[in-house]
Amino acid sequence: MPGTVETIKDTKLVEGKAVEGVLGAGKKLVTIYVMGKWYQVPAGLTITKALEYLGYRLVRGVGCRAGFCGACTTLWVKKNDYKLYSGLACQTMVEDGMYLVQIPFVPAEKRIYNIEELEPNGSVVLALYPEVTRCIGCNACTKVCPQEIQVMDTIQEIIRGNIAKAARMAFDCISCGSCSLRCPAEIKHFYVFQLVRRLYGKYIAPKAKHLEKRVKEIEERKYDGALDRLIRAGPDKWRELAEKAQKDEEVET
Amino acid sequence: MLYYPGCTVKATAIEYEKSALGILKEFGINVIELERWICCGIYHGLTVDTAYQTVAPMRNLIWAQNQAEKLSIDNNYLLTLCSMCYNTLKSAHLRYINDENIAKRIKAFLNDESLYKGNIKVIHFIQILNEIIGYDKIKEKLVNPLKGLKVVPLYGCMLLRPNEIAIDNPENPQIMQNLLHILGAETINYPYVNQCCLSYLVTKRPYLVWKRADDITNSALDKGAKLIVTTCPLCAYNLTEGQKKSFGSVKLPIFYESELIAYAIGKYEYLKKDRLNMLENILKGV
Repeated sequence: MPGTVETIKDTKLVEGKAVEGVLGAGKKLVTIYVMGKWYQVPAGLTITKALEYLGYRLVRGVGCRAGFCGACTTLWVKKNDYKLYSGLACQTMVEDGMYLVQIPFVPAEKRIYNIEELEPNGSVVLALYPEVTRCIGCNACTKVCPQEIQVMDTIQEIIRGNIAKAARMAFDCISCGSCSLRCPAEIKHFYVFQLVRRLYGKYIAPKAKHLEKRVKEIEERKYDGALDRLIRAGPDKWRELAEKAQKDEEVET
Repeated sequence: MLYYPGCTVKATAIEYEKSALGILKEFGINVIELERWICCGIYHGLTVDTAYQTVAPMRNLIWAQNQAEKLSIDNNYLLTLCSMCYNTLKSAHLRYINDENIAKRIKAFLNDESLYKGNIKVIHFIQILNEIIGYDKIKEKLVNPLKGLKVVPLYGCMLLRPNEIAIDNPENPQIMQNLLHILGAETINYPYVNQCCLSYLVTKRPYLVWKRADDITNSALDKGAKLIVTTCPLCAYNLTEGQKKSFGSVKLPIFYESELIAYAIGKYEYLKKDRLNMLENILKGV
């Protein structure tokens, strides 16, 4: 198996002196395997950047590049380690010996419901997603969660009917689906969590008073005049206002 | 004493938890709920691959062990209210300490948790009343004896089988009747005292459960019972729903033993309002 720096010369992407030019003096290379294929990439790159460095054009498995959208779920193993690791490609640095694959999509059935007709309790969630009660407490979901959510404990809160707590615990879920791939009970955690957050938001969480007030003001057409003035102000004024807003400065309406 | 609640007493059997924990407080038992717990795992004693089903109860036992160490609780008791939780946790504990093969597989799989030392003593609510508090102490606090109230006890199967975890003689249990006599109630012999309510068949073949509920209720009604006493939330659920299916309403209410104790010692605050009213109405008719 190749594994020494000399073999770099054989690769198409980093051949000959070009390597030095790309990396600069003193930069280290690490060996990674993408879907079983051997590559060497500069240390310090994220997985996303490493894949692009290698010439992959990412169509699926990439999104916001900022750790929020959950599109770039990646699984990997390391040398001499039996564990399966998971993380977001855009947030994880490559490591020497990483054996990785990106998960472009996690198939899961999403149950259809009308949130207006539901009651905010655990039974409603279990009626829509009865497989939740198949949890055997293996904790594989928690171990694989890139967001460090206590996934198993959250599922357990739902079983005992505490959906408010579950919604708060699952707040950081980005629906990457790693947990559902690993679950021996075949629970679709990310859809279940979406449902409890919706129930929590609609029925349990305190309403945002300032939002209600602003919506009412808009409906009463309070800002129509300001909006008209803004439309008429023209591109130069827009630019000036946009720059101010970006700096968090007060903008007069 | 550490306390493992289980999902049911937090969801459908809230009146059980309220009354049971209230009574323990009255008798000076300091109950601390586990800071972390998951579903007991509803361990089915006859399933083939028992190691897999043992993961959830073992995790709970390990967390109980950790918390007992952290809080320096040296009695190592783990209180359960639900019969199913009692059965699952206790069976898993016994399997772990008696079966090397299972213990080895569990240790290998649960390497994200501390090692279980096998010290946790899973104990059911009735055992605490009987063995730790003592029925005599309950007698001393009696203010409303349930004079003339005819009841049938329903143990269900989870407290009595298998034999190794039974809280009393599986064929002729007396632990509940003894307490009911102290409360002043009259217990009636009937054939279903230690019968299974058919438990989770309710999710797969509910008609069998409705039939069983019908049999138990009719037998008890024939003998003149005014209510059924249990400590198992699953029995209570199946019997209540079964009666609704068979008779259109609940003809013979199911009460937790803890609710009767709370009433008998005059601690109404541990009873849910509607349950208290129901019990008072039954006693008026006696």
